[in-house]
Amino acid sequence: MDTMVEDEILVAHFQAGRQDAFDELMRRYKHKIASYLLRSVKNYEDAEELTIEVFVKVYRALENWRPQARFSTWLYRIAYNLSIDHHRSKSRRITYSLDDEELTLDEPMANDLRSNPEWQVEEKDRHRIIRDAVDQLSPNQKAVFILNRYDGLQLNEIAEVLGIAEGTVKIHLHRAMKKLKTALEPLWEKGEI
Amino acid sequence: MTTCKQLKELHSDYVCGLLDGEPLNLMENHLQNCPSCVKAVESLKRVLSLTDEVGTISIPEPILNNLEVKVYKRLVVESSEPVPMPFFKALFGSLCSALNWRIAVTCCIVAVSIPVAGLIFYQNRSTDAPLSSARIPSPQERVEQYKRQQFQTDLNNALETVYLRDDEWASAGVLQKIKEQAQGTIWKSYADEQFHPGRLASKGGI
Repeated sequence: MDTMVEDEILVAHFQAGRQDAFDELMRRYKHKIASYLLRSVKNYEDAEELTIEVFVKVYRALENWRPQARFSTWLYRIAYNLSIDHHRSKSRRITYSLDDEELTLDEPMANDLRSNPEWQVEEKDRHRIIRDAVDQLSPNQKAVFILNRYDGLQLNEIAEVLGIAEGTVKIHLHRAMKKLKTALEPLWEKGEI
Repeated sequence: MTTCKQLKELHSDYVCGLLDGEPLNLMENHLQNCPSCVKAVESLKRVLSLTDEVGTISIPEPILNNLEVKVYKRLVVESSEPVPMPFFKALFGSLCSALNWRIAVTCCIVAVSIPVAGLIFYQNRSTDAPLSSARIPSPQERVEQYKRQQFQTDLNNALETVYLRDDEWASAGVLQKIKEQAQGTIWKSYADEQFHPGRLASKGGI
């Protein structure tokens, strides 16, 4: 199917009985949704499980979906809600959580640097520090920051996803930036990152 | 003249690219003459460049491969599971505790029969009406469709290999392997049809 076809048109095709339109929607968004969920739950198995769950929910609801918001925003909203439920249920049970080192980062770097073990260890430490700083944000600040910086959503779209006002999204983003600056600035001034 | 205090609140918006029009002009003009604001803005840019470094996550292929099939399989499994009726259980339980059990049973029968009668009436009406849209296949049918599509894709790839490599012996081996994989499955007749020697020869392959 043509990749330039808009999501909402694909939804209309699906509603008219074209199942391959749903396949195309899954192909378009599976990577984004899986990445978003992996960042949120930090566990490959849970991220996969939740990604499947997102598309199952979408499949069930898509027949009656009306384009009041963008399809992608709706998709992220479902993913966000599922990740919240996951964190709630996780807090009630003991789970094995993924160590940072198991997350595979897709970073451009020179081959000679990749093969240098010392450099790799330093980079991992550095990234752990930065990730810890992001994890220290409040849940709303973190959600806004990740959706904006990593998933490329606009403020109005984030407002739709999180079910809050656009002004509130802006405030969370400001506070997130401020908190990250406070956490990271002393470290780069000391040359630790 | 715009002051640093007035523009400080817009530093984050500026580095995140959220400013436009007049506020953007004000900020850019101010930054040309204010080293302390330039330093603050640069610091925020540094924050973003650091956090962007850890933002890209590559998802392992096994997670993304066949995700579509996993979704359809889940739909099949869930649609075959019995639907729990917590509402009616709760209603019955609370009525039993509050009323005589005979009254509770009567209330539940009435509560169930009204929507059932409505549903039967609606179905009778809707069978008379013409279908307005195409039927959406069940998830089970969809899994089969998807497998068929996947099989067709593999087959097309194999056929392309035949034409591109121009290596009859190897290509025949690949095609035969696919055909063997289809034996004993519902794809057998389909594979036999696709690998008919006359058909391949007419396409310029084997």
